[in-house]
Amino acid sequence: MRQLDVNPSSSPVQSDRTEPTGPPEARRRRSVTPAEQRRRVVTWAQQNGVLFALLAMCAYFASQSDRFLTRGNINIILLQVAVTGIIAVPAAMLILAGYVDLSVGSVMVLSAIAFGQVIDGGGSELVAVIVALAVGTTWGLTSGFFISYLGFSPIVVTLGGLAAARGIAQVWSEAITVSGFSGTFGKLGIGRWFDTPIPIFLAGGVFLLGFYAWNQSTTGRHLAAIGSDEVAARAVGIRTKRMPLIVYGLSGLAAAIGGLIVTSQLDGASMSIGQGEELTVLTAVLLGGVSFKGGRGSLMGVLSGLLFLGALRNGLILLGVGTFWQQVAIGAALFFAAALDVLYQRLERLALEKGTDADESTGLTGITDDD
Amino acid sequence: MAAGAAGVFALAACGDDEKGSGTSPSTPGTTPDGTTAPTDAPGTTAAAAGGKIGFAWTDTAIEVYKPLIAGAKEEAAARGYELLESNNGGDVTKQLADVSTWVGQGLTGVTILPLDPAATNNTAKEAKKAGVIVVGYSDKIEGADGSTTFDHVQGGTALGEHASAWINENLGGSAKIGLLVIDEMQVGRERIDSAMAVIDEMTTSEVVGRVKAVSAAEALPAVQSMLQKDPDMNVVICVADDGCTGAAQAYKAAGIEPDGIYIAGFDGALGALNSVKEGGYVKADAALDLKEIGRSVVYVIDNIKNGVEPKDKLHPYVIVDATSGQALDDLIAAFG
Repeated sequence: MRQLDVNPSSSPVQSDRTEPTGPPEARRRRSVTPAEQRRRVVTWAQQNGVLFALLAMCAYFASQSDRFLTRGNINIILLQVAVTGIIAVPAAMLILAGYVDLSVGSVMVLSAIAFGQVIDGGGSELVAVIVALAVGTTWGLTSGFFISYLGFSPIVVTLGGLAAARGIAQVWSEAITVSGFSGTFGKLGIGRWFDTPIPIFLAGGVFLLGFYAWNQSTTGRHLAAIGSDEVAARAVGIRTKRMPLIVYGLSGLAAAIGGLIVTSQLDGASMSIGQGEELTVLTAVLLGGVSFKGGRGSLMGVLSGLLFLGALRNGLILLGVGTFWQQVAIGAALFFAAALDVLYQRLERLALEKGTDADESTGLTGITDDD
Repeated sequence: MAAGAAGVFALAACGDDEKGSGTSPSTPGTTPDGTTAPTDAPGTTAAAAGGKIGFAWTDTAIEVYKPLIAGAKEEAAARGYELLESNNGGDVTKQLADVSTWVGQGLTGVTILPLDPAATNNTAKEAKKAGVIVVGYSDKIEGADGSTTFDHVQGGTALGEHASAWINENLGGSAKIGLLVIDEMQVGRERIDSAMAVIDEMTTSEVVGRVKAVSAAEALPAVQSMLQKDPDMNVVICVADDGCTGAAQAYKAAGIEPDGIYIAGFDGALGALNSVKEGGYVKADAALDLKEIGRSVVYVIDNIKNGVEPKDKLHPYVIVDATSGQALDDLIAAFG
């Protein structure tokens, strides 16, 4: 998972917040070298490539359906990507750090089943929510402990989690859906604030926190540093074990929140919750330009990738595209995501090869700012 | 999606004509002629005296598996067999590996839901070579000794008739219909197409959307988007019951009252049956008697072993709605 072609001397950790010194006029006059220009092009493509694809696709759907850009439909698109978005923020952070969580779909259903079983056993909804969130977080932290402290493979541990969490959910629930929750809990999934579904606000809040952590605090740069070169990151004092552990815990928590939202939307703790969610999350993250090898990515790109998937699914239905072609289009989006990842890596390598000298100190090989 | 697809009860091709007499035991341990099969008491260790029967189904996480396996266990105990289950998660490789393992251990018979017909045919041949009775579940298996199948066309036709009557009575004979489908599977096409054939004939309705969605979690966003396209969509036919839950929630979230909405599905899953009983968005269900189907998993093999009929059991669908009373209660009670 690690991207090891980054020179530690130019790691994003050291370059964190590096700026030209001197008076403001001198900074403005500072000339941009060709190598830096190339890097900026690569960075721009990573951040905005999918955004422009999204805008082009939306323009096309809007030209074909007068309902596509209505407020109601935009709300539906945002609602339909809200749960994936909540899970995608910590998932993108893990991938940025060179890790991955393939168990999120199963943690979703396990948390949902935990909620349903507590209710079925006579517990209150508040207790059930707390139990569900605790189950998800504990699962994530346990995976994180095995991976970051004991050195287990992230793919093996979370693939195991994918199977085990769903299995436990099945045994616990006997595959029977507990349904009929209170109206208060129902508001979590289908309630509205200012005529906008509540899950959209929740996803927006998670993204805002994500943007802060990714761009305004040291967290994002540290995760990128771990993803670029863990040894170098450790050498400069980054907590290379604790940070992934915490993000795995957040990933489990996000999956649990997602599971509860879907449970509320369906008014039932169903075993069908979270089926294939890990792939949807991964697709959104990769579409957004986060490198699967770690060390590079932008949360704005992830948001664009997420909206791209939501708009694509919705637009195909509005246009009445046949079910087979819907699947082909979604499969093509997956392929597009993988191709973009390869393209970015090559562009990045090219930029690195050509940009050798003085401007290396800018250390642009890591995280890409969204601001 | 693969796992979601497995959520459709008996997702495989439709069975052919029933060769047997059409009668089947409704009481565990009784043969079609009413005599009692030679068994030990259910639940005793001697109950396995008849040998072992394997049941290689798909993903056991699906809700309908509970009454299905309960019926199979009851029948196995009553007829003196030990029942083996395959926990394959819908993975055909694991499923067939389980069958091969059972055959190696010694088995009287095995009932297989062919997740992959070609691969299943090969495994079935090996089992037959070893002297094991092979029965196809939901779909016939090449060279097999018998089958337990479902009449999807009959179920679809019956549901189409029910939907048409409702449309004619409540919507003046014209509805805007959304279909939740799984077109790549024969059972899915047979269920939906046979229902629509009747609706097209009996009403002047229009299909406004056709989206692949099996589970509740898939159906919810699908119907939300379909409602954006056609806010007047007032009928949804779901290829599987789980989709009814998601469709109903989409209407509820959109603030649309249930009175003028008709949602119906196939299978006889608990959630859909409860929704039908409560009244609301889900107006009808084409239900299978899951416990009886579970029993047939065992008694078809036992029939073949003893040379009695039916060796090919075709199960009909029963249409239930809010007025079905005891029939609906019995189907719900099967889930325990």
